Amino acid sequence: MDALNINSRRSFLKKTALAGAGIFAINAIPAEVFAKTDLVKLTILHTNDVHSHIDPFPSNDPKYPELGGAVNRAALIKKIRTEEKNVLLLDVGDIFQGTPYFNLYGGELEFKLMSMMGYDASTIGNHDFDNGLDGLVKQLPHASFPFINCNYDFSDTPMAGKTIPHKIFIKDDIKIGVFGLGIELEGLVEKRMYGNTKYLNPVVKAAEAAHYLKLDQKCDLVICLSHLGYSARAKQINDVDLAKQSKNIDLILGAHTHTFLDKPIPYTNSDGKDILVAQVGWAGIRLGRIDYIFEKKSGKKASEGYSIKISKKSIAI
Amino acid sequence: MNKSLLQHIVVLYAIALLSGCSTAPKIKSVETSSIEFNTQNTAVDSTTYKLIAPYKKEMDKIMNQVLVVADTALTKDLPEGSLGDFVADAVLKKANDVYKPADQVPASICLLNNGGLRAQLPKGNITRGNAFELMPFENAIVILTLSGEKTKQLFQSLVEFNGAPFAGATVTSKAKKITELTIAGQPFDVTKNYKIVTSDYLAGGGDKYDFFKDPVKIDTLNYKLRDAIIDYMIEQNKKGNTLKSKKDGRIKYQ
Repeated sequence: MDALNINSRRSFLKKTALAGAGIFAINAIPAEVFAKTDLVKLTILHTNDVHSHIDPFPSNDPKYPELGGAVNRAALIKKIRTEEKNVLLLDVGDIFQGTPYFNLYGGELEFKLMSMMGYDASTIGNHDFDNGLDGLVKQLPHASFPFINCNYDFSDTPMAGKTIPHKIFIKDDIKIGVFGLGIELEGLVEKRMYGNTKYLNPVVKAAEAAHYLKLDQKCDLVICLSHLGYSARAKQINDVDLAKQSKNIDLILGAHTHTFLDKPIPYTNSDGKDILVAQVGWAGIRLGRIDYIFEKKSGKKASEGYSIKISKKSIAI
Repeated sequence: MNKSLLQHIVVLYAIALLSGCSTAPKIKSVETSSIEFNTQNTAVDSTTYKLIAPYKKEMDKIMNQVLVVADTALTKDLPEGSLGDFVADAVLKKANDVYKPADQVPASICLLNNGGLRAQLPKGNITRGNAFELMPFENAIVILTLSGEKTKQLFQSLVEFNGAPFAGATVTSKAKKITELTIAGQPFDVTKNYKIVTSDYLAGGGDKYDFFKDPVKIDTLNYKLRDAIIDYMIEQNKKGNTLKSKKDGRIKYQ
């Protein structure tokens, strides 16, 4: 490869090999390497099932004392943005329901905070229907990011035209295609809440969206925002089954089952290619992070993922 | 982290990526799985803080009100948990307080779902906010009149799916079959109808409670589950009572 001369390659290897404990391989690559080569680094940050947990858990919480909190998450995201050029921040639904913030304000503050943190997109979870379709529509003006879903047909509902099936983001010439999937609502959400929303087969819709993004649009990375659930706890189609059956998807960011995965789990898709499945529990206790490196010419990529626990004493107002 | 492993991965990855060899570089994960971010070493994100402040101030005024004191934490558990017992007892009591049917027969059973209990109650002061987190949904109480056959099916299902929050009955089973069933202190009678307190969510097919389909009668109370729980807490406190973990063995597996 011509782009890197032997000296910078040597210094790259030296610096990365010297990385100490707590420093990750991809994050140990010095910034100058990206400047001199056609390597591009992309940092994906993700949350799921935050469930209106705007304050950190109280100090007397038996399971998660002083963890989470929007102020702390915002600080972490801000810090990462100062260190990384190409950040994509995504949520996988169930933004609503779980604390009195939702009961009193209907999700307004949740959307405002996510907009302030610079979320690029979210999909829709079952609890985002908890104040009905009208309740969701009412809060949409507070969100500066799109809601992405390709298997709910909202055409006969107040949500018609208010979601998009997929979106392509471009970061340093790298094309990232994102599409979203929602869970079957019947038996999970009251009919009066989801009204005439039609649930379409997520496997079929995922195949269509992924084919479009990867093959027609030539995306370098295809991400599925899935509110289907991880595996054993999900009774119907789930992320693990979807990953194995799929093609043209590189990464599934999951939700719904509140599964704490310390790092993305690798699976092999139906084409024999690698696919990762990630999920970071719930309540904004953790932020998921997956760094990708792309080599533009060859189209090759490498990734590294982990989750970051967010902690700090409760904010007092 | 295993440093030599990291070096190994980095070197392999670098060679694969930089030499342009045909196999794609593979770093699927590194041995360190998660790290902690503690904002105590970072300045508070003041714009976020300022956005939350007015909402929080208004919310705390309402939600910090102490309703009752709990002697122990009330926790979620299956087949029986102290939280499930408390909630089902409270909802059965408060529903019957407002239920004035023509036949003057009160409901004898309450059945809810474990998944619907969204937070546990800590030991000590229980606030209105705790009640909201326990029962955040806006679901209303309904009273279903079920045939004896459907009621039997209800308890058979309860035994099969390893319990759920319920009150007003005791059930004993062996090898997932009911051996003894008592409702409101009386032996179960399959020829009788029974009145069951539940939520409109479960009555409408939520959580696949199939035995609630096609009831003899549905009475919808204009009374939220959460309000019933809050009213019960206030009532107990007025009586000078604290919340205690009961776990009286209302469901038994032999």
